[in-house]
Amino acid sequence: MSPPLVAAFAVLGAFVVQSGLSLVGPAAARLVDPLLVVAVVIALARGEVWGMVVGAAAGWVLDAHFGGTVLGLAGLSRMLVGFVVGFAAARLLLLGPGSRLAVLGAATVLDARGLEWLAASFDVGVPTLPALPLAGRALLNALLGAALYGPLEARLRAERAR
Amino acid sequence: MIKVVDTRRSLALLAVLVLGHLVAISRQVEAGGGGTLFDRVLLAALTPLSSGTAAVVRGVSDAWHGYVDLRGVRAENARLREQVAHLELLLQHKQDTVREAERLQALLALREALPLETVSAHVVSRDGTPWFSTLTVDRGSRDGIRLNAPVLSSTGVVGRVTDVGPRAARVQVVLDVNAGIGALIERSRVAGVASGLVRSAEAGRADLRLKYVPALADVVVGDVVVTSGLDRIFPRGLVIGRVTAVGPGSGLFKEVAMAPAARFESLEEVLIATGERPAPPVFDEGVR
Repeated sequence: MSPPLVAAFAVLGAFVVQSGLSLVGPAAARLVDPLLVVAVVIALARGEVWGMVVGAAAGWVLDAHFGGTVLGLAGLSRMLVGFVVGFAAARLLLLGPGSRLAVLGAATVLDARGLEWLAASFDVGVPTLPALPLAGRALLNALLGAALYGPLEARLRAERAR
Repeated sequence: MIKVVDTRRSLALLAVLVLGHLVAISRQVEAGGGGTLFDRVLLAALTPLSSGTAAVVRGVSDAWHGYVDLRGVRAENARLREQVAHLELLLQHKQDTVREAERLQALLALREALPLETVSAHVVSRDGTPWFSTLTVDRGSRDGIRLNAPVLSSTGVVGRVTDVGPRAARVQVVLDVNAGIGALIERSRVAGVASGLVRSAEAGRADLRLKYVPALADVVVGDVVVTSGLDRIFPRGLVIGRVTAVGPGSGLFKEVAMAPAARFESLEEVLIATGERPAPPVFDEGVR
């Protein structure tokens, strides 16, 4: 399967998980963000162009299905997060599991505060996520992302070997 | 050199995408949000996937509850395991049917009492982010749903439609901080605006507040809050919630907190208004 198709399926899979979580327990759906995790993991593995494209796609999916009255805020926020993560991953040595966890956690915080800032800039009222729930969200996203990175890394190694 | 060219290319792409997003968002802000062709296409494309997920989740949830019940029965009645399991599943199915019938009966009673034409809809997804309180339902413009249509449950007001696709609609629920409903204290007829609390980003919070209530107004804990009809979206007299706390606030207004009447955590079916019900024919005395 080609990498763009894998990325598209990953985004759709994350949407299905997020949608399912919202029905099982909305509180759980607020604590973990599979769409963001997929964008950050792909940005870490493939660089800034993939990061921003997959980030924008994941953000628009979130906007369209779970967003407020003005769409595109999550799209823009996640595109910028994907770009920053991909840019950093391609130029800095973010190889170890520890650094990946830190990047996934930081990306969650960056996305949350970025979305809140963008919403305020466009005069859209959104609540500010308090520090503790945000930290919990960052931790859960980091753990989920670290678990997803393994299979993706194996696939990348196979691609490079070919 | 290659790295520099790559960086320039990706920065150029970033600039184009950022500009695109800013234009898309600005156009919506200027237009008052909701209802663009792109929104409708995205909503229409994603909803079948979400509906499928909802069906799978319901199936797995039913199977899981059946399994848990079966285990409880097994521990108590080892000899009659097969028979009890069968009866238990049958009973559960019947109970589910009864619960569903009760919910639908309550919705039907509400539908008959309302001065509005309504359609019923299933909830296919709920809050997916901490920033917005929305839900998606499986009815859209083909069923007569329009933008801003009131959405109700048998226990109270749910919200209003903010985006409509052909077979799905997104609903902004009253818990959203951007929501606003013209409201009245039923007992004292004090007016205000019901809206979501900013704190609702804390997972699981489901509070409302009543804004713009004068500092000297007659409001006490336990008062029922109903729609006033002044927002020209919701008909008057529908229950929004109940007052849970009253504080002095700052300046001219009181701080009034409310608990919503609608049970958002377990919402499965809702009623959506499609238009006003035609008034019954008035007969002339001479004709009668």
